[in-house]
Amino acid sequence: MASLRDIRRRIASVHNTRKITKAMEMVAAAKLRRNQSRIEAFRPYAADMIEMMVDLATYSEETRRFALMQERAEIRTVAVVAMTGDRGLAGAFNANVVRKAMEIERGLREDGVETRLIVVGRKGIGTLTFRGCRLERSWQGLSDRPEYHDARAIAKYLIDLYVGGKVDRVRLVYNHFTSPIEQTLLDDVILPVPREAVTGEARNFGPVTYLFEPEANVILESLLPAYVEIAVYRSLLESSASEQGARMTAMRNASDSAEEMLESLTLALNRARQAAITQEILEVVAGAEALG
Amino acid sequence: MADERVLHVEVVTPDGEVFSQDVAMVVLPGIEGELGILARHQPLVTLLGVGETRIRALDGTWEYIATGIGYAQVLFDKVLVVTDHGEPAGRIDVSRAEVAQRRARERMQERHDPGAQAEVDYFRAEQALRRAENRLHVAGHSR
Repeated sequence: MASLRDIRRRIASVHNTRKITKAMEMVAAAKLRRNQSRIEAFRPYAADMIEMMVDLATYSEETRRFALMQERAEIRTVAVVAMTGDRGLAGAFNANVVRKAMEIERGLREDGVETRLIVVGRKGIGTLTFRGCRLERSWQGLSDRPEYHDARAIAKYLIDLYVGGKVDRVRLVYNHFTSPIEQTLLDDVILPVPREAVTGEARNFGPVTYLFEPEANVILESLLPAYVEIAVYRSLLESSASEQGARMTAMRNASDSAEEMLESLTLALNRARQAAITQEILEVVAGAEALG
Repeated sequence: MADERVLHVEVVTPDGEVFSQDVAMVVLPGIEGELGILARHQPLVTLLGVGETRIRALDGTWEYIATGIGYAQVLFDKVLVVTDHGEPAGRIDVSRAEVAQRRARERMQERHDPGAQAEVDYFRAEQALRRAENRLHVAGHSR
């Protein structure tokens, strides 16, 4: 049986661990709230931008000709973008993204399609490099507080890959923020810009005659990169919120386990102490009897 | 004048709405030149370049907002400005903008190693420089 000192030492250590996991849970909760309000704040911009594209597309017969919307007849190379976090201790958050990205890659390669792997987040970079994957390009340091111009830089890189003919399609693998305790892995095609993204009922172009400066299709073509930027920025924000949510859940579970462990250790400690006392009494009684 | 109509202006950015007020007039930095918009303007959609959105308040004072690329839509006395960044002159931190400007210039000069990485970083620095310069320019009005 473990000695009293050993048990006391373990209790102190579990206690300290629980303090850390509790603190991490609270930090994650605070960051999650901040991220949620940033997702909220971003919504009107994304909605206005996409609606305008839909409206403009009804005026423009030439969307087929736009470089960003041209479907390639043959898909030879696909870029897979995996959105992970910069930090661990978030349950299976990072592992899920990496596994999904590798699954997609394997599937494509079995079909004879070449792949280019692009990774956001230190954790994904670490794991994939360790597994011997060649990364085409990677970014880190964005997952804590992604900014729109970060998304623009990534979007610009992806657009250049696509327009330059180096890839025929770009897929984005990221965690969609469903709720603080639930994340859904998504896999979206962001390039070419899907036709459905800019088709729909025109919102307010109906009865009025607009003046366009420059022409409607030129405006639409100039705004199209914003579609990719919005998709990237949204996935950065959602991934960041999901990461905090996953960490919060993981840390809550860890705190609960620590709590349970403390209970059973305290029980063991009390038993051991009782046993020691009983032992001592027995010894005293035995000694007294021997003397008498 | 009894029937004088006001113009409602909204400026929307990825970080949220930065301006929403009834005003007398707005001057937009269109990519083909500045556009002054008053109430009863014809419905219009235009592309915006990085620049300065000037707003004449109902009391006749001017307000300046540093705005980025995007579009503006005018419909029924409402002007919707959708842009990748927007900062009212009063809220611009001049010393921060100066630091950003200097850092962006340094980054752009470091562009010696070729390859995709350098290209993207150059693009980022260039964008940062344009934003910083625009902020400093617009902030100049409020001093």
